[in-house]
Order: sequence, then structure tokens, then C-alpha cells
Amino acid sequence: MQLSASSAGTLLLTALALAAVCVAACFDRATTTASYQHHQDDTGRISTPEVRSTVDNEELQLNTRWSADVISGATPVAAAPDAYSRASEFEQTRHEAQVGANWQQSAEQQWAGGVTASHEPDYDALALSTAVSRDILDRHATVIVGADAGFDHVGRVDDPLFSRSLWTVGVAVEFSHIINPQLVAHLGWDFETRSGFQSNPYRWVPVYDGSHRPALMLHEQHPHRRVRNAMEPMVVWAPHHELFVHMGYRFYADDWGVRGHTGQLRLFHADDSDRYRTGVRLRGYTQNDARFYRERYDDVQTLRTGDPRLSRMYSLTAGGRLELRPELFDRHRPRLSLNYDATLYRYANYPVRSSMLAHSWGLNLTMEWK
Amino acid sequence: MPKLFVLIAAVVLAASCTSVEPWERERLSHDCMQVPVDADQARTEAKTEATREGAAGGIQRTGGGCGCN
Repeated sequence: MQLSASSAGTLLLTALALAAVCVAACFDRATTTASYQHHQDDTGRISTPEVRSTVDNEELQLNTRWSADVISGATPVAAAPDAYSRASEFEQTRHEAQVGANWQQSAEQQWAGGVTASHEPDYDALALSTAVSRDILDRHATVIVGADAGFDHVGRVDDPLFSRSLWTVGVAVEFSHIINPQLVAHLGWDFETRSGFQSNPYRWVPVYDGSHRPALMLHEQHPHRRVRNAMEPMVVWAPHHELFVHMGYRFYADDWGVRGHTGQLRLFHADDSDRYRTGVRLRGYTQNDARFYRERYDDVQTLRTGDPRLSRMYSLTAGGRLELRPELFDRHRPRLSLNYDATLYRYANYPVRSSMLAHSWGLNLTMEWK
Repeated sequence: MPKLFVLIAAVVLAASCTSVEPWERERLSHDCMQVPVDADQARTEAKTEATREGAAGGIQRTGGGCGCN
């Protein structure tokens, strides 16, 4: 007996619906969130619709997520006299899907794992992650050890033969300790190694011969390998039963010579009735330039870049967040949140621009079913 | 850096010998004491930072590919 395509589709949909009902019946609670984020700066715009859902019971939580980045901006045109200012408009969509699970093995120990895959016309990525969390010292401290691995395939829309790969392996350790009934100290350390193609396949680097016009345009060429380390101490303090303060510092270092320092302060106010929450954040970031970064290349270098992320720069971010939890329904309490961030970037030795202002805002709606 | 991590963790441990009883943990159990308070928002922020700054990744790692180099 042969099935027609429509019959097979109907069967598949029925099986999926049955599976969803069976899965939902096994769990005590489900949440679904729909969100929309928008980011805009001098280089372009990114709009990101996203849907997330979670089902959980006392032992197990399953979560799924899908998002799309709709990117519109400008990319340099090959062989243009000034590749930075001559650019072509483009629009591209990147899809990302994630499935994950958390398992509460015992009162003290929890496991987590997940798979994330993304696709866009010139870039595919797959990442696996796992972590174990354990409460120690009579539940006064928590240690989390995590590991992840990723494989990326880099292509180029104007060249079907262009194909490069990138492997990423990372390990993270986090340690939290309760200092007193209002204060918790956190410390995180992260190590990551990347091997493979790490340049931008569309970016060209001008090489000058002493005049103001470039004599040569060469493809960007970054090192094949990058080893990254980051350490982040942080304290979380509740000076009042409605006020919470998160204060942290992050130090980053890699073998390309980049050193980054980030300071961040977040304040949250949670109303006693839990009908609304507000939050503000201030963030300052500074980094030096990579060892092979030059403001201007006057001769041909093996390693060359035009990436502003490898230049000497700093940024300042200020933002806010409002979350409303109206009591509209007894069992399905919705949560609506709005967030806005403004970031000022200043570049010390990036020839294309000396500063840039970016705006990010978002809207989230979460529904809960018990 | 791993040695520094162990050293700081040891200092935090040594400086915090106070026992906090379960009935004293009301504030500690509040959502706003979690790090991060909102994991999804933190992921979004990390992604934006990764596309504009060189010290991204690590603890704030996001999925590969951003299309916004």
C-alpha cells in the first residue's frame, strides 16, 4: 500500500499533535514566549522574532527555541577603490533552532544539555553543550562545570566554491557562594579554542604605497587558531527586600593580543505583589587592539584585518527594562516585558569611523499554563 | 588564569564561613538573585556584544554565525 504525500503529511501532523499532547500530559507546567528584538546602528539593522517554549515537572525540563535574524545593511564591494565606503545593500535571514533539557538528578545535582543549529545562505553552525551543577558545602555553594563544541561552515554567496570550516571547543567553570542572607559571590572562568577560518570572507583590506589611494586590495586574513580566556567575578546583593544589585567585572584575554575589561552594574526593583519589575543597567567596556591590527597597512602583511572588533575601542551602554505581570487569569498569568539599550562605541584607531551609536529594543510576551 | 580562578575562589570561601540557615534564605531565593536574572535577555545582549566587540564569547558564548560581521 502506498501513501500519497497529503496522507503522509496528515499522518505526520497527527502523530506530532499526539506526541505534543502526550508530552504536555507528562508535565506540570508549560510556558510559551513570543519575542521581538530590534537592533540598529550605523552598519545596519537586525530584527529578531523568536518563539520559545518550555515544559517541566519536578525532575525534567524540556525547552525549544526558534529565532530568525533578519539582517539588512551594507557589505563592501570587492575591488572598489575604497572598500570601506563603497558598499552594496543586502538583506539576509538567519534561522536558529535550539532544543535542550535539564534533569534534576537529586536535590543537589542537576544536568543540562542542548543542541543549537543555525542556517543562513553563507553560514551554517551546529553546537552541542552540556553542564552539570552541584550544590556543595551544605547548600552554601554551587559549582557548575560546562563544556561545548561547535562546528561552523563558512561560505560566500557570490562564490559557490568557497567553503571553509571552523571548530570551537570550550570549557566553563562557575562557582557561587552565599556570603550572608543578602549577598552571594560568583566567579566564572571560561576557556575556548577556535580552529579554522575566522576572517570575514567579504572584507577587503587596503594596502597603501605611500599615497592616499590603496595600491592593493587583499582579503582579510586572520590567524587560523584563537585561544580565548575570560574570568568574571560578580556579587549579587539584596540591600532591601524589593531591591537587588548585580555588580560584576569581566577580564578577557586571547592569544591574538586582545585584552578586554568590562564593568557592569544592574539594579532591579521587584514589587512585593510581583505585579511589576523594573531594571536598569550600566555597562562600560574597553579593549586594546589585536597584535596584527593596523590602522593603515603600508606593506603586505601575512595577517591583516579591517575588523573594528580587533581595533582599540570602548563602549558605554545604558538601558532599562520593565516587566508587567497583570493578574488577568488565575492559571495563565501573562508576563509582558519591554527593554531598551543605547550603546555608544568609540574607536581610537579604526579609519572608517570614530564613533557609533546603537539602539536595541525588545518586547516579550510569556504565557504560563499549569 | 585557571590558577587565579582557584585562588579567588579560595579567598571567597575563606572569607565566608557564616552559615545561612534555610529560614534566612527568603531574599536569596528571589528570581532577581539569580545570575542571570533573565537568561533569554542575557543571550540577546551577549549576541549584540559579540557582533560589535572583540572580547565576546566565553561565558557569554552564543551560537555560531551572526551574519553581521
